[in-house]
Amino acid sequence: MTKRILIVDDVEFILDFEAKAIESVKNDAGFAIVVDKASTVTDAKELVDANRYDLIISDMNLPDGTGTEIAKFALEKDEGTRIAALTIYPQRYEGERGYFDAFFKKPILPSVFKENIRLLLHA
Amino acid sequence: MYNDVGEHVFNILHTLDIGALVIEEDLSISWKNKYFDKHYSTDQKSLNDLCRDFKSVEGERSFLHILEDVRSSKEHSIISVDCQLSKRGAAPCDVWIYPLQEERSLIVCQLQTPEKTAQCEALLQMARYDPVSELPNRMYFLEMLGEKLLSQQHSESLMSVMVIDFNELDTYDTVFSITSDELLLLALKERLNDVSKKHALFARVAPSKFAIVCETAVTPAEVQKVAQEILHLFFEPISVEGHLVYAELSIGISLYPTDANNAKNLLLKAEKTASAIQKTELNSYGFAHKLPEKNVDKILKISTDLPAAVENEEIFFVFQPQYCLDEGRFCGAELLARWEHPELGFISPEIFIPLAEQTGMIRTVTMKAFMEASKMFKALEGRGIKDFSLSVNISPNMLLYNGFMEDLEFFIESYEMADKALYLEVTENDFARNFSKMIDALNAIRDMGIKIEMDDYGTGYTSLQYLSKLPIDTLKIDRSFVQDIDSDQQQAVLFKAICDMASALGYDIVAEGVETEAENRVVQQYKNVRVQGYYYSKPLQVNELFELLEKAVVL
Repeated sequence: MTKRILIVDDVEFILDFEAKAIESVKNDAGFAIVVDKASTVTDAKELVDANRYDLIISDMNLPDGTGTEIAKFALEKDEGTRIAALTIYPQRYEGERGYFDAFFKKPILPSVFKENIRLLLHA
Repeated sequence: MYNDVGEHVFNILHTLDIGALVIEEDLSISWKNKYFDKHYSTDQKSLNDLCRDFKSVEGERSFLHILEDVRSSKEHSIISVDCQLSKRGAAPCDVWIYPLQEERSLIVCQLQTPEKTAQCEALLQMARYDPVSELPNRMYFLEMLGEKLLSQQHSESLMSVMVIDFNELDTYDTVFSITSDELLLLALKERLNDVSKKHALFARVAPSKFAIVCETAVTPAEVQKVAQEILHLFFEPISVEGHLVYAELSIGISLYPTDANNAKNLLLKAEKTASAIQKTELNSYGFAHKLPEKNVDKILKISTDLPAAVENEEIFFVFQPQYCLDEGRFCGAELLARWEHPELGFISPEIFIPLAEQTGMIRTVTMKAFMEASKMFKALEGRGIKDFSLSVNISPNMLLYNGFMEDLEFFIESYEMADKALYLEVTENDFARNFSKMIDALNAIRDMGIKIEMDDYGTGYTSLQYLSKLPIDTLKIDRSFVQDIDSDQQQAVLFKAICDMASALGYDIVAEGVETEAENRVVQQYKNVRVQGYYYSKPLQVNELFELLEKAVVL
């Protein structure tokens, strides 16, 4: 079994960090994980269009839009995709919570992030 | 809706046979209960109409004036009127006016029957108390404090107001397991009980803030003692549903009559002080008169801008090179965080690092430091530079945070730093807090192959006996021992004594703050010492560091 995850963030070091954290979850997950990266809403939508994702983790504040746009687009395509938002200000997006399975509050810590990924992939 | 008296009060008002409405600052009616809607003429839209119909039995003062008095005094008032509002015509009526925040007023009008008076009293009780903690709420606290001040106006007694502000209670929640806010709040209140019962007033003035009024502790020295007593109460974690929570709090203190002579300002000043303290120092207290207004505002702005600053790369790292005297080369560097704020310019790490610790952002700053260190190790390797160490400063809060070891392990593995000369710097003062936990954490870190440097040695109170037992590799002698070492004989003696002792205990030595040639001449006599300071180099950007290293290699 292979799970496919899309991570979206316009900050390179965060994207890199998330990929590494997922990589280390993979080591003891018991299934393969493929990670795709995007830094804009446009890139993310293209990837969502071309692939089926088990999980999308998106920053809320992107250069060409918000994480909610990606969430709506992804849910229209496949309701089974789990979607998590990553934001410094969760309270700002309270009204959009319905589109997401979880809100991760930044700053993200490896231990917490990994645990959340595990839960979202298994749940 | 109007969170100062609580949603529950408004819900109950809908169910009672009492007319109730809320009046805004511009005198428009913004809310009315069902009874009011049903029983009073529906065309009563504005307060002017209402005033015409409320004829105060006190005669001279119009209802409008009474309303203004209530708003400015922030104290509730009950007046008797002949109310024309009822469809049944004029009737004697009690009007209860309760001031809300943002210049609103809650008005409850009721016919004078014993039954309704009792209902209104029950309501008053509810509006005055916080439903969770059952403590007086903000409005009632201000009302009682106001009364106290009034009664003492002519005596020369002093009073102090203390606001105990708990840092981001909501961050204890995680996405998947919500620890009960209410249980935590009750546990906090319970802890405060011992202290609060000795004092006049105890209230919950905001979701994460409690206030105490002291009449017995009024001089700064006395109040300070109470503040310390409160901080002491939270040294031990609180257990909530099996979770251990380390409460982080700050205490702001205002003194009557020196800081303010009315209840509202006394509370505000204590609150503002508590928030400013919270941004700069963990578990501490401060007096309102010691914090200049301007500083408080700047600190609050910086703290708001901090979360985005790391991601925007406004916060970045420079490298303070270290020089090995016995090898005659630059052999390491300390990573130092810098913040260039788009409006305020460079902000001193002395200001933003404590602030980052308070807001939890220090975790991201440290994470970024690890990433920078990893990048630097790779770049050094690419240039064939070997045996070069990098030191990352680490806050004691990070060390004591439960997931830290797992996080550190992740960085060491994922960022390929297992075989690198990575040092973590912990200041001497950090050891004073949670000594045994700190030792355990440092031992675990050393087991991962990371070395520990004790920063600012000589500024704290580490006894020699403890020093020999600490799991550290390097002692970093504070700059204050190096300053004027060439001219001050006593400095030279102390420096020598520390170096001798550190060598005897098997610790490496770093001397900080070597700035002049004369200071360097003295320090140079100690061959086993690594030195850093402006005499050798100022902190450098990555490319500047490589220039320095390459130049030094050529030399």
